[in-house]
Amino acid sequence: MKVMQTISKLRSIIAALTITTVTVPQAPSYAFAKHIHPFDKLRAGSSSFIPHPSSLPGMVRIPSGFYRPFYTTKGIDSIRIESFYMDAAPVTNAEFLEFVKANPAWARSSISPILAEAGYLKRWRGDFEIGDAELADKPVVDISWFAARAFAKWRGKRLPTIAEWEYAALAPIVRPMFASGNAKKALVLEWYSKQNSRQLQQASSAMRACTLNQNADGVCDLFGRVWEWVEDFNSIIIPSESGSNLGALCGAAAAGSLDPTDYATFMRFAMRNSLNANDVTDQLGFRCVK
Amino acid sequence: MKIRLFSHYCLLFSAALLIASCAKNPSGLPALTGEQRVAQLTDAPIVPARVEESGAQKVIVNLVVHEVVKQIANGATYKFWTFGGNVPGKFIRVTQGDLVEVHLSNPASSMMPHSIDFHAVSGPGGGAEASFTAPGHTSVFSFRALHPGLFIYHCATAPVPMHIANGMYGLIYVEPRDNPLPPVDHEFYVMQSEIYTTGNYGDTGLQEFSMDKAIAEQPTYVVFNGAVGSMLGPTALHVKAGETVRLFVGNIGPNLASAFHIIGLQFDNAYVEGGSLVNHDVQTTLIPPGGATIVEFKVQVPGTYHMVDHAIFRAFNQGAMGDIIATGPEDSAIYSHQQHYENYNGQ
Repeated sequence: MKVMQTISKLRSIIAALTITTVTVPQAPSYAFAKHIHPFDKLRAGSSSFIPHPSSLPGMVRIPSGFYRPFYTTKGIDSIRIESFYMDAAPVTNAEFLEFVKANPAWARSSISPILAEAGYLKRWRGDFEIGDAELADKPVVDISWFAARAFAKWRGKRLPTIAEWEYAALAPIVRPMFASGNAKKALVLEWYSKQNSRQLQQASSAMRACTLNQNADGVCDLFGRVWEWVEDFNSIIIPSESGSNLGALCGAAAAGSLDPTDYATFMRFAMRNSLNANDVTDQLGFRCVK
Repeated sequence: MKIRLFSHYCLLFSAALLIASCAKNPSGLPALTGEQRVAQLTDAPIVPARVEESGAQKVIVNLVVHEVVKQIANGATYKFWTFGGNVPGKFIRVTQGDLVEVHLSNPASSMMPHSIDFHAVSGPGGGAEASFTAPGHTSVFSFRALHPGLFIYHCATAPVPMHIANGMYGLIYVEPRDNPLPPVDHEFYVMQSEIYTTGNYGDTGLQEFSMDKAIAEQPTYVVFNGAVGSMLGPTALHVKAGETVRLFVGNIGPNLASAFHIIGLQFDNAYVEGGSLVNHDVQTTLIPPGGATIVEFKVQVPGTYHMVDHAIFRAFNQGAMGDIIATGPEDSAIYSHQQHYENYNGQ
């Protein structure tokens, strides 16, 4: 009975979404359920999943749907995300080395500080040598937004937008255990608290097998491995009373956000907001979409 | 001769102008002496010594964020985010009118961007936006310490409650320029805070932050200086009977007001809310979350004096206790100890 109710409720929500998002922007209405994602609802309670067939190696298909921006903007309730392909795992040092070899202008000693500040690829032994074998299959870090973008272009791909990345992140977790809704929020927060040590200590051999987690779309290690560059990382003007960017800080951040209890998402937005395009940090990598 | 005189007048006149312009700058702030110093920063319970200044000067404060695992109780650890490697963060001492230049560094190995909101700053966000710093970077901003008093500082990066609950706070004392605090025998730095963990009080191993408990305002631990027992046993504070003591006490919360009390003595002076109003002969002083107070007292006779949050379950069950141990000669005119003990057969 309860299941039936849920399904009919879902249908009405999806119907409502379909109707009300035809034209954007529009008058705000906040009657929708939060974070609508087909999997989040339709697969709730199921721990099995079938990744969407993908003809692109190393990528999985993310189905189209609707995303409600975490920081709400007047007049926009949700935006339609067209189906896209996303790298199943973050780009590794070995993959990035291929790019640098093919594009020597992006080698450590050649790159301009405008494109990447000091510390670019600092863990590598040399311009065209990773050195530490352990690093090869780990996510590449210490790379700038410019470098990540150049890599994506070279591969015929691009960086995901914030909306695409966050939309993909809405799918429930299926490994190592099933989690959606509040349970997922708590789990991701816990993974984030361990991110630093994990990134440095994780055995490399397990990398390709989705070391930490996998979601219902088949995307691996979106959470708790490295932060990830996105195309429009600094485009969110987080609302605040002063009209400045103070909203990324202080309590004002909660007032303009979709869900003040989603601390993990606040962390991602704060992190993106703190960056400049030539920044490199030890915790920041990327993955591509197409 | 006339020309020489004239040139002398010129010199005198310009000298007078210079002196006048030195006394006050256009915004009415005290002029800076041109000297500068790097602030001595200390970890609790140590307080930096007062620095004698010839006038308002530039004081450079270097703070480095460290994300570290530290003990919160016997066998229990927690991943703290800190200003300077310890909880609470470094104690900063400046004088009213000083130009404080803050250098906030966030190592590349950090997981989070961080920032700092000084309650002593007169400006938006207390410096939060000016100091918003990604991993691998340093931010610099300056403020004039206009108001004297004891002030909290804390990280102000979203989600702010978590950055605060995870250890990112400390105290800055702005000494009044014209009437500094009188000398005492001891000064100590004490800071109350709550720790919210998914585990229970007493659970061992690395404890995780509990957002549910934090929102419900039901802490697992209420502690002084970052851990249960930080000022108990071998790390208790030591003084001599007859000595005067000043405590700089902050309460970061994040949620609970502190009923700060020391069992067995009274505060001669309590600087209400850390400001300029001084109360006398106080038993328990209230410190709101995000507030501070200065208390001064004389330890009259030897013994152990327990600092507590007199919301007493916090002291007994959650860790809010620290000791001041006084040694020295007894004074039975003030306190006798038990003089007599006998059987009582009455109803």
